[in-house]
Amino acid sequence: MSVSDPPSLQSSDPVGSVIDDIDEPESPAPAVVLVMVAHDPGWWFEDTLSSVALQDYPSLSVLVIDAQSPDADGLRTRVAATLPDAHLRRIPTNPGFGSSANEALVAVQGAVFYLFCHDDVRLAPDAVRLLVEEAYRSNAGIVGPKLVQWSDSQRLLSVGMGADRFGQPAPYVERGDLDQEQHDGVRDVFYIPGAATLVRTDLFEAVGGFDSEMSFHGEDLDLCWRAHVAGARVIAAPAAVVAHLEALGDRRPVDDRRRLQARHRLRAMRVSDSFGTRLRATPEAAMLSILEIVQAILLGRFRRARDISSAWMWNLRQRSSARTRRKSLALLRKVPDSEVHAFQARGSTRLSSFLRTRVVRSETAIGGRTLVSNLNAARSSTSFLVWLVIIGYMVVGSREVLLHGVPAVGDFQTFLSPGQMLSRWASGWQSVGLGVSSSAPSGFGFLGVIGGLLFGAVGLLRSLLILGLWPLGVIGIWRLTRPIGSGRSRLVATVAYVVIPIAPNALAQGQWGTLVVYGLLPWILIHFAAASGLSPFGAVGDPAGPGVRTRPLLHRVVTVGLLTAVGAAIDPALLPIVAFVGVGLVLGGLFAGQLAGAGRLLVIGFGGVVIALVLQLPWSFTFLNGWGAIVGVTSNGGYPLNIGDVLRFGTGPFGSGFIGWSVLFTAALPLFIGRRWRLGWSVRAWALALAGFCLAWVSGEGWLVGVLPSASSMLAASALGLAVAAGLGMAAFESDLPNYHFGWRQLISFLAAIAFVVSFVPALTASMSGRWELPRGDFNRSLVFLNEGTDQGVSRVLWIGDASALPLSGWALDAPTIDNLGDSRRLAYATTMGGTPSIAEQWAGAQTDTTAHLADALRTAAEGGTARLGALLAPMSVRYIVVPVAPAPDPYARSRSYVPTDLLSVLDAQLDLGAITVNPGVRVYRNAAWAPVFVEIAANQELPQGGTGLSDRTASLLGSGSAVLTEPDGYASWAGDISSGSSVYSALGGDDWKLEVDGVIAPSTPAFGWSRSFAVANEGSASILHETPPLRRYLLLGQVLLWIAAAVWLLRVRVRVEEDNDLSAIGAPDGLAKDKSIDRSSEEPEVQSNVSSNASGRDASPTAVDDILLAIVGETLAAAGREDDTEADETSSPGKETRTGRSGRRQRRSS
Amino acid sequence: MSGRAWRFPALFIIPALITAGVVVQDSRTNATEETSVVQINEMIAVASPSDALSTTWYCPAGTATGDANGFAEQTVIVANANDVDSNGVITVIPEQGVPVTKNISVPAHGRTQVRVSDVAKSPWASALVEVSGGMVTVNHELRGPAGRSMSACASSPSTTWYFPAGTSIAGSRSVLALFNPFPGEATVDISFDTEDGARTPQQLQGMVVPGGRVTIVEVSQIVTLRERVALTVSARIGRIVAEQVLSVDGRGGADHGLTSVLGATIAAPVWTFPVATPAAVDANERIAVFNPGDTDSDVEVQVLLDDPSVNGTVEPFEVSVPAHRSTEINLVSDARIPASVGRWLVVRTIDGSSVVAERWIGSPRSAASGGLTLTMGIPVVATTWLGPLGTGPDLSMSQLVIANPSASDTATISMRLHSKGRAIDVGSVSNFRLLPGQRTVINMASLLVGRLDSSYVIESDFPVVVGQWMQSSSSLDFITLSPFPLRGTLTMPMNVITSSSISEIDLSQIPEDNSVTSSTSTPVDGSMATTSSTSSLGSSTTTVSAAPN
Repeated sequence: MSVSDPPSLQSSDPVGSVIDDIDEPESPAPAVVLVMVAHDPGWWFEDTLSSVALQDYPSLSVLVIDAQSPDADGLRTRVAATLPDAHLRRIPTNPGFGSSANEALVAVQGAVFYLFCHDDVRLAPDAVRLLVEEAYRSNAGIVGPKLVQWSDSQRLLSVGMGADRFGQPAPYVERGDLDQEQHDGVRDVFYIPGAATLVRTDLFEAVGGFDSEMSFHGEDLDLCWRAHVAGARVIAAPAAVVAHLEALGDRRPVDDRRRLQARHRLRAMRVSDSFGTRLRATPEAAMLSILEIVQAILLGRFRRARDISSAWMWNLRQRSSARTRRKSLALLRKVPDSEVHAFQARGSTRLSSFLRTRVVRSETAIGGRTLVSNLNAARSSTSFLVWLVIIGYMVVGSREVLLHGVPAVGDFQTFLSPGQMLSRWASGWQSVGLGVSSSAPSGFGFLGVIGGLLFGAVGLLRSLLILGLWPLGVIGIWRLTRPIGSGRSRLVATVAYVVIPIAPNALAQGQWGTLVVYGLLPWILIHFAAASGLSPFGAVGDPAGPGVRTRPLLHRVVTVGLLTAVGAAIDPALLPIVAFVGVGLVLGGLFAGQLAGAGRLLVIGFGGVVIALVLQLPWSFTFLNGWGAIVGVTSNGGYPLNIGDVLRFGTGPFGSGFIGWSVLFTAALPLFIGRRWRLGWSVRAWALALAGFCLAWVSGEGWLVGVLPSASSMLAASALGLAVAAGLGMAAFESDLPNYHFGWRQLISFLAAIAFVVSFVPALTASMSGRWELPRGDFNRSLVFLNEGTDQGVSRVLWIGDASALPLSGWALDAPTIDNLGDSRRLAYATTMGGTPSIAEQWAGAQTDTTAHLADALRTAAEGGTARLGALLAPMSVRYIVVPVAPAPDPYARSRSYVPTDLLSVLDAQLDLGAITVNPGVRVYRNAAWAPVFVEIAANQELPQGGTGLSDRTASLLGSGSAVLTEPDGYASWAGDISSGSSVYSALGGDDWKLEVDGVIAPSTPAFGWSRSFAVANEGSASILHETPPLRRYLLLGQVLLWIAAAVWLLRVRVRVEEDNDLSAIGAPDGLAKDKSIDRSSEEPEVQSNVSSNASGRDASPTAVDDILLAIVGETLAAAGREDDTEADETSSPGKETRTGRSGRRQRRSS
Repeated sequence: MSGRAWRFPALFIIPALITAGVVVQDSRTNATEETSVVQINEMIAVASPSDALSTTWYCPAGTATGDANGFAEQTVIVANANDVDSNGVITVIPEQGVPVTKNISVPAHGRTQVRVSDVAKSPWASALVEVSGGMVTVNHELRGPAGRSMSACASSPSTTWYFPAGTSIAGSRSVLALFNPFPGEATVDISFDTEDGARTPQQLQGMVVPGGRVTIVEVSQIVTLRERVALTVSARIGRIVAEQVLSVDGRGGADHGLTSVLGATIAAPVWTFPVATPAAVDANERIAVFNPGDTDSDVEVQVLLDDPSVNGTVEPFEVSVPAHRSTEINLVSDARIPASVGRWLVVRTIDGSSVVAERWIGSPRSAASGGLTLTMGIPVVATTWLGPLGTGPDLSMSQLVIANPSASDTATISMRLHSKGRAIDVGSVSNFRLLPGQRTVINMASLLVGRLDSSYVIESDFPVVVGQWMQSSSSLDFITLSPFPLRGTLTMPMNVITSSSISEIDLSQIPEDNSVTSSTSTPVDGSMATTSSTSSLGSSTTTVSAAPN
């Protein structure tokens, strides 16, 4: 039958049908058979049928295919009630839309066009006619209407669809956009969404109908793709309007849809491309899939990763049927692939959407591009510019450091190789002090693993972990302030956090711990705020802010615990600071008269710390030995901290100027003009800031020394509080100030704005040096000789001085007679094994009884008890004593106020310490009485076994011996030759040391009260090594499992909660459920009304590890990830998903 | 309680906290900085406490020729006031040659003497004494044709040494001994100040003092024929111990004697001289003040007469000392000071700057008197002092002087003697009080009879200063000896007595039992010790006598 022939329909095979046959048409118009596949349609079905009944096309027949609806009679009755002339064909299974629609090939004869429809569409009365007219006018093979929302015909869903070469949809119109006839031009499209598709019957038959292997999703793409290959036109006729309810979402689970989409898109590509194109496109698609899988795994969307990977497996299994369809299509191929590609989007739609959302991440409202969304787009541009400036500021300010690397100043010590760090982590012996048998700091394992993942690029890792913490914190506060709902507020808070000179001062002084606190605290505070449930981070008091989502409290606690544990792996002082943040916020609530959420804040604070301690096991056992192991020995260094310095964050070279006060004025604004939650949270933020100020000042005054973390770390919390307050001030300016009469509030708002702008000045000045005043050089070059002379045996270097000048972590030296540094500084000491410090000395831990011998010797000298300190230190194998008097050697150091004059006087007065001229920035003494770590002495030479009364001339016993075991053999192991009849003295503290000489274990006896000597009976090759007890290994294994379990649990709970939210949203009772966004514009006119429904206090905060990854990889990755969930809807758009946010997704699912 | 947020508590609390912080900050900022313990301990030779692991002493100067007519033959005297024996070594470091060590043992509450020339012979030799434990003091005695001297050895090296007093007149020999006990070499600059101005001889600039060596500088050959020569030794690199040995042969009516003195390591605003020339002694007494600072300094020399209620007070001498210059005040030539009245001295700067003060006491040799002694002032006060009494048989006069330089606080003093292996209670002087500005002079000569190994420990509940005056009879000479304050008990003098503050002391505060008991018999080591004293406001004199054990 030719197309122009009048349709001649045969009766379908009725299976319980109401209408047994399709009537012959009586009109000369081309016969059109409307093929509607129905499966248990819902309440809308009568509307659908009525719209069909109202069509003004004269030659229209209707074939309803019942795809195994549970209530077949009910369906029959409903169809008969509206379309008594329709044909009903029931099939015994529900093979999917395409396969069901293919029934038309056998059930219909003589039709010119098929109009395939879902059972949830509502056709405009002239839709069929207009489609047919356009098919003839354009000589098109497939024609599609303009799809609009069911509930609001002014909102567009699609006007045809585009796709890239991999079958990824690329919509031509913005979903939800207001229909202003802007898309009403007829145009060629790549495919027509399957809701309503007019297809020429001959074309449909020629291309083999819908792919029977595609149950749901993707069959429309496949059909149109094949039509393109066959040379047919696929056009959109926007004059024909069809409303689409998109109720399929109610009937297919999310996972199922996602999986089917991935499979069918890949299959469509595989069966439609020619061989050459397929050869190129398949590897590209595979690569993109791998990237998607990686992304999904990083985001904890394991099901998504599974779906993508299973798509390839499924297509592999279906390769036979694919080959068959390719062969059939090859017979029809009329145009080359290049012409087909002309209709396809270039590149990868997903990649493009990722990049697009990365560049422009806006805060658009739900719905279409309204005036508000346009304004938001403008804000996005402002945000984009501000972010560019921030990034430029950081890059320009760090240019020299980026080009020449970070010098080993302060805590910024060089990293060991991943293997060395993991060896230390696995060992039960630590070389700090005089050596101690204890659990290794988790930082070794943490850095070792990451270093391994970077293929040993520990230099890059070091730079990232030092320089990356500043931007990490800035991104964190950007995320933290998102629920405030005002782009300007977020910008103000973010910029304030940048210009407060905590991070530059920390960089200038090598304070890694402060940078860790600065970088992680905003991310931790996100969970504090969310857990409180208080508006805008929750729905208590006022509606929740944008992007607020729900997490269980336990999830919050574990998240904070995991974040804290990650930070504490570098600086354990983060532990008390996190608890302190909780207390500060509760105090703020008390000041504000709002105690709601206080309990949860405390639970988060202290619970998070407990979780972090558990995750740090077995290392955290060492914390039981002393608080000092957690907070470390701190000193304010060369910068005195009076109250003015504290309030201006002048912990270093920046912030002590008059302009440093400006941030305070800016942050004070919400206290005067804020209302509702803005006032409440600004009081909390100020309480947090004040608590940090108080503790930092107390530290600066020399009170509670040894109890508090460093002043700069505590001021990082204050900086965060002030930055949040500044952001809230902007929100109050936008929403609260207009409600006041003109008066002083306007004036102080103006002053605060000026203060905010003025605060940029010192920040810009700070960036001039290009290195934040970080010294250009470090001691490693000046003190390179410390690493030499290993042939004379292993030795130690004793480092003493102001804790802030020491390039390693140590212990407080309680020697009042020589500690004249001042109240806010501490004299500290530490050791290295034979050279300059590295990351190995980053974590000193608690001072042990063994290590205390060093302090005792120093104290003895300090109190005038000896003039031969070198001899006292000889059994401890101290060869050099190094006293840094500046953070870096000349000419790099700017401050010389570290000089411990009394300590130097005492050392200068020692008869066996010879001063070496090295550099004005450091004083070095060579111990004339030193003895190596392993000394071979005569067998009859007895060493004191300990106790009191050790003479300072005992070392002469060791001085006569010779160095042995000089060859390092891995960590905590040395080897060498030993002669018989001797004793080997080992200056290594800790237990479980074993000396073997030709396989014979040498017995040991205590020496000097902390070390040991081994009696050697036979000569030969010897080795000494530390045997780590199996229990310690098991504990480390347990720690690894704990971390994995915590991370996996967090990710699983997050995914589950999100999907539960998504699925629960699908089940909206009326299907027309409007977005449940809280229209805060009624109460908060300044805040975007793009907020998800959240009566239970949802938050937008991200979760633990994946959030950090998000921050590093790019915030928009999350958007892309979230978009993944929503692609179940064929018409979704990644780019638009990002803009419409979760609310938009939820709305679609609701419909 | 999640309703409307309160505004005013925050607006009140935040400024209140900041204001409170500012107030507290200001109050703490006004606090004065204290001199560190290490600095104080380096200002003067100090003894270590009994729990010290070891003690090291540096005796820089002395000849060790073994010749009875050697210029200044050195003998090291080690006294142990501890309850346990002290063992150690003495290392004699010659001007040229190899150091030689000798083990020594000092019994508890005993004393040991080592003639340096018995260990090693050298034209000049230093001695390094290292002994175990604390409560050990080391002095060295120099004997030569010009006389006899006894002075303290140093307990710590220093980078700077000041010698305000000195001379290079005809018949004098001034030797500066620079002892570097450390392995590395030291580089020093030596400068002089005379009545003609300052001198910095090129050969003494950047002079290298080898490690483990003593270097001798013949000052009188470099700066010749100057009445007054002040010395400054400053180490660019390293630390040293510097001592000056001065002999004057009395030609032309000059003073005659041999003396040695450790330099002062630091300048200070207050210097005390608890011992002045005894009332019975006719001698020249001069105070030399050196100002090492960069600005001129106004100095006041306060002469505190014993018993001011009877003898009255002396208007202070005031003098301006230019920067980097020295000056002398002759106390004898001023009629304001009665020669027959005991006195002690306080030198202070009026403007709070720091100077160095040293005293010269000398006399031409006669049949009954004569000698020379240089005494560095004491820049600190302490609650515990240790010292040897000096050799006994040839002393014609031995006075121990304890002075309370405070203008307001009364000190309760106790004293113990150590001899023959035990501590000896000395009766009433074991517990007495000193009023503000008061000093007591204890005549100890008879106590020393038969006690060649004696030493003493003075303890006080309030910081005091102690000095010792000895006069030998066999070889006429004056000896002023500064005892050693115990490490950990030293402080900087505060609220020091002035002539005006003496008159302001309320006599009613003086308790009736202020005087030492007039006559007390106390068993001393199986024998009897008898003390008798007289006391009045401002001074007291106590005589202690005991039968030889």
